[in-house]
Amino acid sequence: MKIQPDEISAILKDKINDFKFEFDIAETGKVVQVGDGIARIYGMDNVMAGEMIEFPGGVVGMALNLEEDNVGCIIFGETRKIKEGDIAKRTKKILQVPVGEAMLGRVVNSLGQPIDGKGEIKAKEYKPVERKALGVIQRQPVKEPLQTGLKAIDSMIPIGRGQRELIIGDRQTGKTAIAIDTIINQKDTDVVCIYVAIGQKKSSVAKIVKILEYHGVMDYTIIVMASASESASLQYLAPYTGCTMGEYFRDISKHALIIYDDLSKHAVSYRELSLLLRRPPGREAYPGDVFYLHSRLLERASKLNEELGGGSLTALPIIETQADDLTAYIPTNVISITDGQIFLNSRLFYSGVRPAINAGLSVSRVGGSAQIKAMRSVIGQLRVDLAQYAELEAFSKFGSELDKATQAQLLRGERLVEILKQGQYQPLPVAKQIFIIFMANEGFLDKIPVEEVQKVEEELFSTLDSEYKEFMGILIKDKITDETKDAMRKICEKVLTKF
Amino acid sequence: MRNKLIAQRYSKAIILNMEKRLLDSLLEDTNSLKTIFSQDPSLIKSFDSFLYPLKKRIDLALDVADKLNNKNIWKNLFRILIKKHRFTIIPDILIELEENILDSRNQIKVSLKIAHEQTDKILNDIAEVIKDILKKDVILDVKIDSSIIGGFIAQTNSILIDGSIKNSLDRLVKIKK
Repeated sequence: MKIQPDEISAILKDKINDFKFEFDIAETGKVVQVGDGIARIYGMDNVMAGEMIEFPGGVVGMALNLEEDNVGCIIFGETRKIKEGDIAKRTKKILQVPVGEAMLGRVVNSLGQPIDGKGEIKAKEYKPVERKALGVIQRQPVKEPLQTGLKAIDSMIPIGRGQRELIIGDRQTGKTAIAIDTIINQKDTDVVCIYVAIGQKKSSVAKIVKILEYHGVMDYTIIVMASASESASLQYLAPYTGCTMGEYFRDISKHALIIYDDLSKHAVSYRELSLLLRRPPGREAYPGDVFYLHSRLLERASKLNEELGGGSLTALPIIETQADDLTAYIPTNVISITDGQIFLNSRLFYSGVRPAINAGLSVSRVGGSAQIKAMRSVIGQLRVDLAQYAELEAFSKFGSELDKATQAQLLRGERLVEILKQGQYQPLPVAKQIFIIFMANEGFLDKIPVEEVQKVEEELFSTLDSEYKEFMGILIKDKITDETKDAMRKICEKVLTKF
Repeated sequence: MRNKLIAQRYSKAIILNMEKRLLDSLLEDTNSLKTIFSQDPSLIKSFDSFLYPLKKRIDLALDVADKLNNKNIWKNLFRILIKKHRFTIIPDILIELEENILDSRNQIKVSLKIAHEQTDKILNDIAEVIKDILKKDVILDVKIDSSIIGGFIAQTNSILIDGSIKNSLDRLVKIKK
């Protein structure tokens, strides 16, 4: 079919006739100062706090400080493109980011833009980054477990869906490793994971992406990255962006897990912004609202009531301490906001106990009610035994003679520590966790030399995999009865015959 | 920016102490002073300079004020500004005064960019369009800028009305993306 030039002209004429001349009317202000990721704007009398501001060159910012004569604004982009005297426009929109299934498997920046080179994200929905946390009526107590796959955590410091559990410890103690293991363990479950990297090296994040891809878990994971090279404003925004993405899944009755790695750097970036915006400095030069910075973020993690679909958003914030000091400003703040903490100790880490969880200082305030019954019925006095062992171990080093009961406690403690050790990226199904803890608690390992405990564990797991698959399925269904315990004892004895 | 805030306060104080009927003459004074100071910016520096004795500077300023309609107001203002070593903010005060007076008359000054010279009729039509949007009578300050291709861009202190062809094309490009 040939199109005649006359026809094209006719179409064009029609289009021109239909063209509606529209004005762009915008409230504007004048940039009077720009630099260090912030800008001050004169004018814009009606701007809202948190509103998006458009600068020349497509740069976007957010109004943070509404002062008598100017608006303090953080800039998400290159400040070099903005000059003094430039016109900044109001958008009348609170900063929004894309959310939805399309985000899964992608690495995005704090504005939700893809940075993984996999092309455009075709998100259907956008949601504001700052949302008020849900009220009491919309929530319900945490009741379902979120399995991390780590024996030490799932047994002693159980985490429930909708809980906020802090992972805290010095540098190089395995905080991120716990978070990554937890993500890996969500494979084949209905939990969507969001990993927010704040102020980290790009190489570290690239490594995490590779690990997640290798374990085939990237498909249900979103990574929000504001690396160390990004501006403080982007680092400040990243956790809120991640949280908004997580809330989307919670609100459609799904379950989501979000990891903030880490909030210490987030507080530092906020301090930087606040000082640049000339807000009064408080303790350690942090602004007065540094508590609110984290409380409003972590309060957004929640378990919805059944009328709202029962979805959940579980938060695992990470805090880095200096020299195991839990009493510093930011750690105490976040400890008081969260529903418990997993404290990682560098001494334990370097003595080979990995994950280096300090059982005495770690706690889960609400997770107990979410722990599966079977696990609850086998753990018994695990935490107390471990705490007592840690104390007795210190005494035993004096070399004084010990009574039989103390020796027995030490013997049991050593084995408990041994069974709670776990390799990185090797999360364990809960049934196997129950079995090995049962074995240690019942004293089956007491006669086994400590060096052999790992081998017994391996043997137990291979026996369970090969011979008792059905039994393992039933095991986690309900509370463990006396008959089940008898059956478990028989399996333990059978395994021990090989040693 | 700080000067702007101080200028706003001075301007507000002057307007509050003026009778409404005198506002027109005050606007006339303001425009005269704006012309004087824009023609010779060094004059402002001289009034603020410690090189000349304070009395001499005040006397000179009072001489200038004598030539204006509202002598007393200007004399008081100049005296305070020179004594407080703040005479450099006089241009900001004049701008604020002009805006406030226009505002009290429900008028607004609009900087209008157009691509080519236009007839008075078209300019009046544009002024009507802007008036409809801003709900104020418009005083146009027309500038030619061929980069906007066609249409117009009207800018006040806090509102930008972009009805340029360039903006429409930019919008079209964005939609196509």
